[in-house]
Amino acid sequence: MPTEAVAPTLVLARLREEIRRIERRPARRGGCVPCRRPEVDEALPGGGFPRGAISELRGGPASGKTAVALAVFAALEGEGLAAYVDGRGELYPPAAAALGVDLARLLIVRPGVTAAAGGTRAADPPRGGPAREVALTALWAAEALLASGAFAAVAVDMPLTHAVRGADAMLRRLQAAAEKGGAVGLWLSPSGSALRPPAAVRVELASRGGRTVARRLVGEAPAPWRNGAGDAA
Amino acid sequence: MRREGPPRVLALWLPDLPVQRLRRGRGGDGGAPLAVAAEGRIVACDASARSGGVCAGMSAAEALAACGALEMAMAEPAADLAALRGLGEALLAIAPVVEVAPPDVLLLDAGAAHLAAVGRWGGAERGAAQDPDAAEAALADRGRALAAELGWATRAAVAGGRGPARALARYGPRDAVRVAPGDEARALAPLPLAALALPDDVAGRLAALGIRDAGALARLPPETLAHRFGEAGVSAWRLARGRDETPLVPFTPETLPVEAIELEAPAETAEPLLFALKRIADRVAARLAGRGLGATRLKLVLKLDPRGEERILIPLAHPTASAARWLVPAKEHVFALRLPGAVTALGLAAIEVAPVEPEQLAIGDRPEALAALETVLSRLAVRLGDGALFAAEPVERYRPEAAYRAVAFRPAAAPSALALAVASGRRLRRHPIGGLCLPPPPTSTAITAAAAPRPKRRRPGTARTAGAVTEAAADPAPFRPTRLLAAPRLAVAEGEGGRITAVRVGPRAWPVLALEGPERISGEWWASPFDREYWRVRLDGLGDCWIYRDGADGRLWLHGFFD
Repeated sequence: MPTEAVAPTLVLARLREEIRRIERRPARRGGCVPCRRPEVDEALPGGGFPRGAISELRGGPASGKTAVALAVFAALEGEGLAAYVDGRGELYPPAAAALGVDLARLLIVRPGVTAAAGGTRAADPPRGGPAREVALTALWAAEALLASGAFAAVAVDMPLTHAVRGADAMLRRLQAAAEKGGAVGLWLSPSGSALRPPAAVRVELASRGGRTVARRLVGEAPAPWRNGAGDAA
Repeated sequence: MRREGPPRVLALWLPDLPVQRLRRGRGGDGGAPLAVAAEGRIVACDASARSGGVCAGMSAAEALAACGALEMAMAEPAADLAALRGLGEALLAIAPVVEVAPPDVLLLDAGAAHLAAVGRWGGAERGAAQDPDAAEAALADRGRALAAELGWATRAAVAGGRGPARALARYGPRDAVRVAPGDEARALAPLPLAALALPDDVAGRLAALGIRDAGALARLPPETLAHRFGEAGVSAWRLARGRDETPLVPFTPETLPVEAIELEAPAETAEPLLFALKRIADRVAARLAGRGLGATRLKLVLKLDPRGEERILIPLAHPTASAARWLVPAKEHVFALRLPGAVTALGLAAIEVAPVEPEQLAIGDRPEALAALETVLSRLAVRLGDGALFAAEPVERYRPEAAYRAVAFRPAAAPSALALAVASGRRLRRHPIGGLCLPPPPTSTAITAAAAPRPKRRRPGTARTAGAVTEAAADPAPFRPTRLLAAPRLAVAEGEGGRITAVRVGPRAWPVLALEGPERISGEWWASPFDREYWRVRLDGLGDCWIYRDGADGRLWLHGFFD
């Protein structure tokens, strides 16, 4: 009887659905999050930063990469929480608020800071000893935040050098963590940084006459700079 | 739903409380027969001792003669009272008022049982909400079940008035008794006179008169009792007839909960520790939940063999009374432990607590995401420590580096679009196709102008540098730098003819392309006065920097980057 043949299939399907429901993790997200800055969004393949992947923002100390990361947070608009792993201890929250970020929904993580009330540390790249521990802790925190599924976007500002043993392996795990949690992962790296995580998108930012210009890096061949007017600069 | 007559009371009696407390602290019922003695007399014993011929009131020597394997412990009334209060604390979750009636009874207000049936149990007990009698029975079951979860065996009775409920809980025919309103006298009649807990002199004289049970006392004429015993006699008569209208004395916990347990055998691995930890965590959590509190910091104490102890502080990201959430960071600690000896006992205390607001999930909220957030915040708090993760809150301070402070990260649920509109004063506009929609949000430039802090400052302007005139940046740059250096770096201006051509930071000089300012910020004369002139300086190859001239000594400092 056909009905007898179908019934076990239906039962199995319901059981599978039930198991999926029980084991359900926070919903995965897809698509992109634009930062609503044309000069950057136009340089990105999908018009925004992909969810479930790491995107690298590369640039000098005043190139605008932090502002772009904060713009992504602001673009979430209550869609989810955001986290900023502040390895340098330099993020200035009043500027984030001025850019439209809801500070109550922004988690700031400063590894190595034990004192309350926004303690700060030296900003030199870690090389060894306690600084190496801070760097590895920052990477561990970034991985935990990305994989948790509780945050829609996670930015990591942790300058690294090859002297930090174990950082390579931890950087490779960030992409898997972002895929697992579905978050937009933003890796802020200084110009000329030798260590770079596996990233779906790499964007180089620079300040030209007070404007931020961006270009996507594909392998070693950078795309033209975008100035936000729809044209290559 | 209000009933006439004495207030309805649920009494929970803990038989052999001292023995139960000792067994509970040892984590089980195993071991030798156990009895507790005070002043050489047995005051409580367990079932195995009772089967060996031991009973309360027997002298210690007689008890040992009757049961050779008997383990004798000294009575600790203070510990018994603390344990009774601990259970009373947890029972606050199911009753608005709890009275601790030493030595071994808890009295709960059952007058609102029908309301509690809706609020707490719902579903299968909806019927209890409609039927007050069923609600009382359900409350008794719930109280006994909660006590059993916490390791206590109880007997329960629901009746009108404190005295009848207490008497029926201890001397009633069954483990759970419910007496209908007005039927208390008939239920009390067969109980011995001791059930009424009368004053010793009254009880002794009544016994001398041949009064053996409450029924006999109730049948006596009250005028005679008043003549012979005075007010005490009339009170006893009223109690025997089930008339006790004295109100409950509310119990208000004054200390934070602490629970401890001894391990059956010294533990050298994490698994038995976690097993025992879960048990005491459930107990502490239940006590906090009864008070509507959640722990924000726990202290775990591990007693080591043969001596010494290890104390672990466990910060929690959110106040919670969920033992399951506590165990996540606790596991991180326990698995990372390197102890010099085996663990013989555990203690868990909630040392910092905060009220737990009721949570109501909106459509679209994902409880699993909330659980994931709790978990990751707990892991980070354990690994990184206090102060390493926070949310920033603006502070009204002129000094830029003090313009925010770290607060605990406790994000509220995402506001709905309508709530956002109401809060921001934006007006809903009609969508061209139909329905209402929100107007587009303000641009980041507008937000910048609206939200940026406005310290005391002198009007900024444009300045000429090396033949170039700066313009206000078309870029929607923030009013403040996105990165502020923890330690400002000394900068040296280089120039000629009164014009700044370069700024040297460290060993390298950066040509100046443009500069904007100054913005004078000063103040805090009452504490640590400062006077700074800030300039936004565009350096070739570096970008826009925030540099100030210190009014105290005139030196320049690089303070941040418009990154």
